[in-house]
Amino acid sequence: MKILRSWSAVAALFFIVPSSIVLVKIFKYNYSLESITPQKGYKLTLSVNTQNERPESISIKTFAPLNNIKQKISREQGISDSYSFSLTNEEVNRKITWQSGKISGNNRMEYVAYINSHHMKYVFNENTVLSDHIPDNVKAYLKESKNIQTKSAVIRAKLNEITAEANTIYEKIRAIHLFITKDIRYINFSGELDAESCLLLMEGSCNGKSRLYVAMAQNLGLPARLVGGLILNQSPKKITHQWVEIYINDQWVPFCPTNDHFAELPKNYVSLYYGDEVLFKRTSGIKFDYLYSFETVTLPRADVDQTFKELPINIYGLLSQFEKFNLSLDIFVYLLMLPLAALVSVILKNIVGLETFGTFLPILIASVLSNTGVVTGITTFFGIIFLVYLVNTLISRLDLLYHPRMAILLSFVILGLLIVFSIGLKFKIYNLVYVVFFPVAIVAITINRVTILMEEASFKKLVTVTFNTIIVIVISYFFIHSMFLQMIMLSFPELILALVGLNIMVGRWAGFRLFEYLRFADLIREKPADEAGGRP
Amino acid sequence: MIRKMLLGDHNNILGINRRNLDYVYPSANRKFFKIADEKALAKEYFERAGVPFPETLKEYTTFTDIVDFEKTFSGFENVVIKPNKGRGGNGIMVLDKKAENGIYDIDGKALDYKKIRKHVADIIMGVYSFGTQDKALVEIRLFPHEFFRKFYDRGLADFRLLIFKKQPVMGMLRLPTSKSHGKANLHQGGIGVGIDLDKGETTSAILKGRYIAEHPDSKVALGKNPVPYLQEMIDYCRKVADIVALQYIGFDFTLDEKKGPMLLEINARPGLEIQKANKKGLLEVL
Repeated sequence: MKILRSWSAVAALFFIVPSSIVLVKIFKYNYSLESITPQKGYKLTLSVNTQNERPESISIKTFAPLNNIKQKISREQGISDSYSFSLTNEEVNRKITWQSGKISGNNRMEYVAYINSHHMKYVFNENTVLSDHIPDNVKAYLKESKNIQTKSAVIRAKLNEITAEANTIYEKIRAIHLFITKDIRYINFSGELDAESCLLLMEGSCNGKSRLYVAMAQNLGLPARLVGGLILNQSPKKITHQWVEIYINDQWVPFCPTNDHFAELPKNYVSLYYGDEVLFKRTSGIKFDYLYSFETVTLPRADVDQTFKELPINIYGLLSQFEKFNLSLDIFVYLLMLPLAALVSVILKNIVGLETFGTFLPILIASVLSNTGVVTGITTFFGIIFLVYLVNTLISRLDLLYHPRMAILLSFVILGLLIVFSIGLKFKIYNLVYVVFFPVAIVAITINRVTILMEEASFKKLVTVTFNTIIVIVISYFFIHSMFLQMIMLSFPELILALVGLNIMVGRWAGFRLFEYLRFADLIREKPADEAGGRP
Repeated sequence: MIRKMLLGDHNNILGINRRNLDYVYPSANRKFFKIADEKALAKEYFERAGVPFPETLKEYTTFTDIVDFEKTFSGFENVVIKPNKGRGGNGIMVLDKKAENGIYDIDGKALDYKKIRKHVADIIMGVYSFGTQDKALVEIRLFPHEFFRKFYDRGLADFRLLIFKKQPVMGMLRLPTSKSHGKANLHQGGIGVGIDLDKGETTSAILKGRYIAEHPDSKVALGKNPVPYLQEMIDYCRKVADIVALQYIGFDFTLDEKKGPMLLEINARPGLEIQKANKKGLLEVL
């Protein structure tokens, strides 16, 4: 009883301390679950293919999604064998440049970005009073251009006609919006149409309608611009979209005449560039194709570091230090998730009764699966075990000493990984290439564990333990990579102490392991319960 | 339901978690766990307790010990070479009578001294102790008692007796089979036969988790055989328990055809399969 009391007291302490810190954070510093829980965002991929016969150097320029209050971009990557990738800020836009050396044949490049996007709605109504102030850097958006003929008499006349009864700025823009949205017919037309032609034809695509919108807004003395982007409604897609932003009282307010969005923009609108730009600029005379695709993913809240950076108890200071040393944030997050994964594997071992290769090996493998890919990683692990079994069985006839035997097994496994790697490269099966991300330390531990088990137990046991290990890997993978749990641990790293408390509880768990129930099933069924109850 | 599966009374069957928490760990002194892992150390305790055990004729501890191997070894025959820290019967070499330039093994194949020397070197190098340095023990060879030979005449059978707080709580006879290659360990294909400690006779038997009535090789009935030397073995257990500060111990005895009971080793974390052989939960008797 004395022991019982002391361990529960220790466990309780490990719960009380971190929960107090969590409560202080929530009530004193306004940490709220809403502000830390992840949200749905997008993983956007732009893939571009080029084809040319004679060797030449090719350059391709396009726009990366804008980073603004509506959308936050993270984890951007440019991937290509033959093109170098660069990302530069040019005025308001973010330009991607792919540049190749002398190349020919089919070549491919990819740009990947994660986007936290919000639905934005602006306060703009009859009560809005326009301020006269326009900053210098915004004045350029009052100027007309070749395709946006702001000074056109036709456009001015039409504007006067439709805004004749409008008094406030809201009523005027509302009138423009209604006219372009309802009266100008929408045509599915992939070419370009200037503002004046759109008005004369009384029809246009998103491009023509938006140009006319900008021209009319500029006529009212309001800075206005085109926005080019994507509506993420179907994947993959090639069609880009255009809409309008008008500068009203120190902010750019969006309007989409094509889909009738007034001073608001849905979440699935992703802006690529401002201005009347061309999406791609490239070397001419080559075959060129592109495709945008996206998937919905769970992302950390974009504003999370902003919200908590100044708080006294937080981990974001550490995070930024990590970045200074050029270490991936992923590594930091995985470090934070390992204690949780360890608890999960301990529960699977001591309460469920899954015997695995070592206590930590499954969670170490689970934490690298995001580098190798789940299927590649687990297959690699399985392949290593198989190879170790095979080679160890073959060389056991040589009666070798322990250490050199381990070294031989390691050599064969590395050789195997290199062969798989080169097959992957040769046949462009990129899943195979990722085997090299399997850390050598994990390879070494695996070899060690497998050989020990081979000495001590039967083949059947080896198969069972391998299978169990894979189960624990997959389960801990989901814990380690759960965005929700990651955010909880990032916000409340003190919860590691609570995990210690839980481990103390599991460490004092004297109940059956679930698998023992199966192991002794015969015996448990042997005597009915009423007979057992009859004993003194 | 899972709660009931995990926490129910389960006919008094002892699980691993409870065994470790309530029986193995409270035994206080963890330094005694070493006795269970190292045969040479265990023998020191057996000697102090006055319990018979297979005598060690020679220990090879370092490579300098095996420089003149033939000279030091050629006097031996009918011996067993064992790794001090070996587990599960691995690394055990049983040698028969002398041959012309070496010794016969139990299959009648002559081994030269070079081959035996290599085996000793392997043991020292740690081949059977996962790379940690070890020593090789040369022991007198034991011959299976008539009681064992009745079931199966190859390999060496043994008894497992469980002692808790100096009281015998459960016992099991472990018999090799042709499929276990002479080994009596249950997970290597040996048979576990339950023992009724009060009546002193064998009861039910399991082979790979299944209940069987007779030995698969000799077809001899496994149940209701009176166990020889049972009381003597229990007394030996108590003597060792008196000087080893472990409250829960598994004792492995074999019976030599001439010398009778011989204590082979003790185990600080004895397995739970014994409950199946006896069709009885350990918590009923602990």
